[in-house]
Amino acid sequence: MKELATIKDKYLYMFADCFPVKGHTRTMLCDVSRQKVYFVDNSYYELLSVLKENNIGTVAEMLDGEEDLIFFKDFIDYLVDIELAIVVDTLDRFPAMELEWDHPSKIINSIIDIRDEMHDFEKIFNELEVLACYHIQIRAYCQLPVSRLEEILALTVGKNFRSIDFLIEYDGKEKEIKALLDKYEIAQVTYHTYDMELFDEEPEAKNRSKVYHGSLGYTKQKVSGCEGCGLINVNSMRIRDVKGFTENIKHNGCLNRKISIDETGNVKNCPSMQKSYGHVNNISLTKIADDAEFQKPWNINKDNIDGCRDCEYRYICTDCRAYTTDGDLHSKPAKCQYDPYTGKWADKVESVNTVFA
Amino acid sequence: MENDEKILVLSRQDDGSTSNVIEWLVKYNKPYIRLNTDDDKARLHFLDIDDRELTVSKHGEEHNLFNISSIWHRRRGFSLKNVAINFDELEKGILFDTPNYHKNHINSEYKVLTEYFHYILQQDVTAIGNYVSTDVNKLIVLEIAKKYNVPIPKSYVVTTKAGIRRILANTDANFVVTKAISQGVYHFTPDYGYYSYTERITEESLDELPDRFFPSLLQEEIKKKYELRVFYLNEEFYAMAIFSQKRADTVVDFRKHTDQENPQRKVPYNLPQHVKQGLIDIMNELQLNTGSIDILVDEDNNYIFLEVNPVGQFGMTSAPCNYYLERKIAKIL
Repeated sequence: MKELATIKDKYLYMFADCFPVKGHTRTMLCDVSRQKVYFVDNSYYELLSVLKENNIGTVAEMLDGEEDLIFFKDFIDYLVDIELAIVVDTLDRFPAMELEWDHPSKIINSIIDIRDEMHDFEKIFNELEVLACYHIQIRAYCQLPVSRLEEILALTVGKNFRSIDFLIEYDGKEKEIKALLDKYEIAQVTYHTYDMELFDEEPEAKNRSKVYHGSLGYTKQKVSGCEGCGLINVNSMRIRDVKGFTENIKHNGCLNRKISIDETGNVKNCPSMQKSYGHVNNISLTKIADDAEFQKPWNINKDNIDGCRDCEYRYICTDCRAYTTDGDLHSKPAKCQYDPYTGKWADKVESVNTVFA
Repeated sequence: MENDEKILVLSRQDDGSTSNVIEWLVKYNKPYIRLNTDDDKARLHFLDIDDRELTVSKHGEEHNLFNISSIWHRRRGFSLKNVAINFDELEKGILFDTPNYHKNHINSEYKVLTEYFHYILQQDVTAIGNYVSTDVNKLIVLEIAKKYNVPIPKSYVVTTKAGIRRILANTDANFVVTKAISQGVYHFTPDYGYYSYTERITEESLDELPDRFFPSLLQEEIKKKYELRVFYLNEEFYAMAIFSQKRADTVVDFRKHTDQENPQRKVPYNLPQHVKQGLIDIMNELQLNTGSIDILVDEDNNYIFLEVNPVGQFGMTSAPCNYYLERKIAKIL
């Protein structure tokens, strides 16, 4: 890297798909396209803001002391080295990313829980298709006979669904299930309550909670009810793409444009939530999807949630509105393991390092 | 017969961008008919030139294509699959000693017919794309760019090794690159995918070549800062910069990128006004209101026009730059 004097008339351009997110204790630099995060001290957040308006020489003049200049140069070197930024002649050519989020479907995804009784899947699928909901997860808190699975899948024929993901209790019927998955390409099955060792080609797989053998997924976790959901830890952080990131900035990462049916047939934002909008047999999903009250949680972004609004992870966190610290719709997720005011994960001995403090 | 005005989408069934635009058409309650070049779901029935009737059936419904409200030339849409042909019969010889003559004749007959459809269908309706320009001539496009003083790479067509030597002797560039004169190879079979890339020719690689060969397009290599992919729609520009210079494997052709963990940077970009004007001139002369334009920005900040693809993939620009191009297209139709 050249000396600062040689680039004083130039600008530092942080790529538009990399976002600094300021938290209470530190700032996350989120490289959305490469799905990587870096942590820096909050003073660098301010520095990056100033660099958007001023050339490198002007910013250098604002700093006092030889030491700060060295930090400044090291910081530029660091960002260029990790390919989050480059030095350019002008910023005029490089606009910020538009943060708009939009989607053509009224409902984007749906969770359907089952235990003992079967829902009227014909009615549900017909209505989900009208809503242009193409991604469906079916969670069974029990074993599901292969014939039942096939009955459900047969009802998807001729519909535009893109994915039907099943989560079912392990029953040793892999062979029949695999034959079924060959027939219905949109279907995927993950077994829970798998009591044997999880094997995978990669050695580090033994630390994972879920592995794949071919088209089937396996987890040892017993998923006995919807109350198992809502855990927020380092592993639940997700960076999907620019669209996923902007959705998380504007909307609720979990509930936005989701419709759910709990195991008893109640239509809800999420099976774990208390409020029901009626029984699926008696009310149309399309009507509920248009209900202003039903849509309210879609727009609870992290800026509206206590604690989360000060958290540097807020735009890559899925959130949970079902289990909150004091039951309020706007309080912190009860099962969140991170404290943004100390920068520590409760479930980890070592904290995720701030690499540029 | 359905008489409500519909949007006519001419495409192929394997074009994902078409499906994404259609999701928006569904949201806006805009009825559409999609005709795919590569399926036989749509059938041509009847044409009455005088009474403005061109009947096509799909999924048991009949549509009069003279009633369309707008048209999107994503692909050709019509093909021999839309008409009753006994392909077994066609394989049999008819002329005693010229086995393919009648096949060519059938193709010519249908070509005239589909040309007429495309011609008549885009009269007086909103159109995105243009049938006559879906396949532009790369060399003529370069000629048009030159006419409007838009910089292009130094370009040659050579047929001999001596010709390449002459170019290499007279250039400051380190390399020349080869390109297809028409479209590059892009072909999929159940077992293989075939592509052609832009490749370098150097003094050393000349040894592998014969003295004379088929006419080949060569361009002098440009020392680029970054590459631009620009989606153009009704004089609006949606530009994306691709930073690919850092890694050796993508210096010539960014499609060859292999580093999955560190994909190239693709970010929104503002074109300078003078560049936009040059591109508008080129597109107007080509009678194109849409297309994907490739540009290189060199180390001296020159914007060097490479080519325009009238039916280029805009999804690869739309998603990384958050442009919602699919929605914009659906709104225009």
